[in-house]
Amino acid sequence: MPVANAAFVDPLLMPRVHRVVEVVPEIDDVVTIRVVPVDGPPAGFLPAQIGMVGAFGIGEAAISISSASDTTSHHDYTIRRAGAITGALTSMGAGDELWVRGPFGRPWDLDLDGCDVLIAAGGIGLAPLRSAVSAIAAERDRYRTVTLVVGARRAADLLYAREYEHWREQGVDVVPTIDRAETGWSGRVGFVPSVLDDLDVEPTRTAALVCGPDIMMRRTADSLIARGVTADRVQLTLERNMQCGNGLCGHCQLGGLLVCRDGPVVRYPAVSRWLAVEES
Amino acid sequence: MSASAFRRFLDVLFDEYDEVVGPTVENGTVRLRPLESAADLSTGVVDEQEAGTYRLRPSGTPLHFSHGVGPDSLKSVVHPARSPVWTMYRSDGSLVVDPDLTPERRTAVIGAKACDLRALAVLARTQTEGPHADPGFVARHDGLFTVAVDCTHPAPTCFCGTLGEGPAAADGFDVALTELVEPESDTAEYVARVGSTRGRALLERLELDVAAPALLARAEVELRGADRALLRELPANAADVVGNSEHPHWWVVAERCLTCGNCTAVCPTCFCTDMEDRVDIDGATARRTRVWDTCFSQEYSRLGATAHRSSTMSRYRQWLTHKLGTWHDQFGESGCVGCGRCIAWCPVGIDLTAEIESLAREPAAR
Repeated sequence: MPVANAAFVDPLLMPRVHRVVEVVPEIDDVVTIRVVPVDGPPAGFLPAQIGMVGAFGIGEAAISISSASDTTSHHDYTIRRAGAITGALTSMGAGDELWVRGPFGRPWDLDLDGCDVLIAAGGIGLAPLRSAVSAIAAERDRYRTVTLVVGARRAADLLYAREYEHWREQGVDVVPTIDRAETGWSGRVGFVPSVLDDLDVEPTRTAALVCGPDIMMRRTADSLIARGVTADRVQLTLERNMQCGNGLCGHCQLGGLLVCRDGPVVRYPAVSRWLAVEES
Repeated sequence: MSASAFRRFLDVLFDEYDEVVGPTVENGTVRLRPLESAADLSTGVVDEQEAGTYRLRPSGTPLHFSHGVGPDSLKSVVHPARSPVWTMYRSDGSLVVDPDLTPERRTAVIGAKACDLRALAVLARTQTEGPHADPGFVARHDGLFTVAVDCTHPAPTCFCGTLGEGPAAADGFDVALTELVEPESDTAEYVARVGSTRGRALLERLELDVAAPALLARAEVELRGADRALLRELPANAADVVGNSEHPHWWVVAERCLTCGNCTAVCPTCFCTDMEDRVDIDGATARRTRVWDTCFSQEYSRLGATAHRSSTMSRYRQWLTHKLGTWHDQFGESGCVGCGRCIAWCPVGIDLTAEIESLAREPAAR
């Protein structure tokens, strides 16, 4: 018998095949796909961790798991149709197969006992925060006030709007806001940072979780810090082009950070210098 | 080591290893390639390098290593341009994934210079010392038998000396050689140094003589000459200089940069890779390959439908800022070893040492 050569493969590059069990249309161009692995229970994860979700022959994209982290039967991915890969993923139906690697990355630090928790989401930025909302609601008495400000261009673009009432029942003060006034809208109007400026904030005990476009996160963080919130207590989750998820391929760099390894959740001081530079 | 002893040394390498990689002349360039036999080794050529220029001419000597670095580095050996990851296909209507297992190969490399060894250590840190190590890299790196050759012919594009390296190989090799011309016979001769126990074991099989003091003295003269030949330099504060993201000179470089990515391809430490997915023509099988990528492409920073770094300015800035600045944050050192490859192989001759000089100057008042 010839001795086989030693051979190697990077285990983190090996995907697991998953099956789509349900597709929920959300807002324009955005759907949530619910998936289960074909070979066993889904991997455990923590809020804001990312799955590399792939479509056969097309490629994969980094997408945060938006279901609750204590749900062990399936994972949800909320995906906006933007390019070829997300186009393929958002066109899938129940029974279709895709693949997932991960979960990767650093989660939200939710050990914020006794804090007022301020959650700020811009657009589809609510997706990586949905699992944080679920986790906080599940242990609601660890925190003081919990406020979620959700911004969208139009009322029809408010993500997960059907769940706001349920979150309110769980003790989360949900404050939706839209960019411009429109017929039939009686809620707040304005961008997330300016709505936050109108809220009462007790800076010494406030912690913030922020996700949205870079400019929205910067404005939100700067404004909270200007009001006295400790910069280290402002957490952001970043989106960059991730390819490997293992910290080895270099794609998701932001300044000195490799977002898949050092993020996606970071504390604001780690990135403030780089978010301030265009195209950095 | 006489020319004939060197030949025996090569024979042992060919005997012991699946593959011996060394410098060979291909299309007028010294490339690092698997050698079929000792005859493939580059012989009697010297290079002329300047910004945007690389040429070989006859050296009139019997030397094999009388040239500076070519476009290849040890990166090609331990972090290949293409490495297969997996194959996916449908079986009974369901997707199946098979890993593409890379067989381990025992490789020896000859002709690595001090900057190459330093670059190998820098590259290894990026791929193996984070929370997750690339097992393929680890296997290729651990198995590599390295024969260094002291750099007696640095190119004018090099500046390893200003980074505290070379021209002699100091560590990170199994065997190191200094190559000289034996004046009586006009043949090559070598002084060998041992850098590891397996290097010692291999040399002991050759039963070499201890180098005579006169030979050692000549070797030292050669190396001192090489040290003096280094012209360019990188200032010690380069990391701070690239930290000035808003300096107007970034836009000036961008007017010349073609974003071709040659600099990242030839850089011995540029490690970025992409995942390439290809489907066979019958649509039934997809193959994933890890391939070298470049931060100079728009695709590199694509997010959804658009590129995060769409301007040439931002892409050149990302490359140099990472190489000289944020590399320190990520890996505790600079990503530049001073080999000068990016200067020679830039089609428009962009020279990072000159760009750093400009970026270090106070911008003119606007």
